[in-house]
Amino acid sequence: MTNIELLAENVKRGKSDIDEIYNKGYEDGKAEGGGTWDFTKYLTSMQLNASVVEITDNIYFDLSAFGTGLNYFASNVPFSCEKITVKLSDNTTSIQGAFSNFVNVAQDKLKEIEIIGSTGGITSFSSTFCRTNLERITSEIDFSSCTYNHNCFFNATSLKELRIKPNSIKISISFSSSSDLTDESINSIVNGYADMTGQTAPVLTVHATVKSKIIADDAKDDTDPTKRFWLRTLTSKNVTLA
Amino acid sequence: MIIETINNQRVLTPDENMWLCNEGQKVVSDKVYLGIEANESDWTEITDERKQELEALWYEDATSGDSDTATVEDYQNALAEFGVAL
Repeated sequence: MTNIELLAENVKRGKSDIDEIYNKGYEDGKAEGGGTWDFTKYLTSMQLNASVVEITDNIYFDLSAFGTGLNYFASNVPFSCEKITVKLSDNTTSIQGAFSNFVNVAQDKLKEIEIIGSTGGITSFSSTFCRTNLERITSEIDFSSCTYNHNCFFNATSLKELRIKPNSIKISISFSSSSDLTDESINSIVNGYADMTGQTAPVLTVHATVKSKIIADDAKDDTDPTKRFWLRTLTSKNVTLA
Repeated sequence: MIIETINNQRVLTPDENMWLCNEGQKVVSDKVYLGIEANESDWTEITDERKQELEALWYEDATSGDSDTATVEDYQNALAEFGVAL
């Protein structure tokens, strides 16, 4: 019986048996050597449920067959593994709430999210990375098409590392929960903004600790080789820092 | 609110015990460094009490609608899209 057939059988019996499907897919993928939940690559839409709680190995989700929306894919799902990798469909246009977790925070061990494939076609990043224990997003995020990112990093209190495609941010964005962003991450955010001269000034909101770093950098002498010119860069791009 | 220009940088500072708020962007701040063409009038002063009210409202907004979990119907739809007959 294939995983999909097994899934079908379980759907007939009710939601409580869905866990077997995940475990079957996981075991098959593991047997193939990759630890992949192989059934995911056949799915065109799906939201995870709490069955992943017991999976402690890092997980790779091949979602290349998904349609345009990855909305709420792993919303409120606590992971026992530290890293998940998600391969996006080329057609993905929204990942609203895809990795958010407001409910099962205490059990959640997930620290790293890797995204394979471009996010350059995604218009909505609303509430995407609202995850308290998340420390790293290890793929470059391209905000080029993003028109709505409200609460994208809300409650991302542990976030330290992320990379943003240079000149791709054109709207306001908030990192107000993230006090531990590394210098390289701050640099990436600043350089991630497009030049907004002649357009409505977007607002970059950061945590007080990060704002202090930016202001401290601005206070350095221009000849100081360690100066990053973060504030001057933002201002000249018509971005307001709050 | 104090509006200063320091080294060609416009800086907004609220009066004592007040905060700066840009309701349109859902931002409250203790100090704002304006973009070169940014409009000062986007920012108003609010009290600490108002700050807490707004942040509670925005938190509710952030967390509501984020409690979606997959239902049996979701799985059935997923299978139907895949062409699996139930």
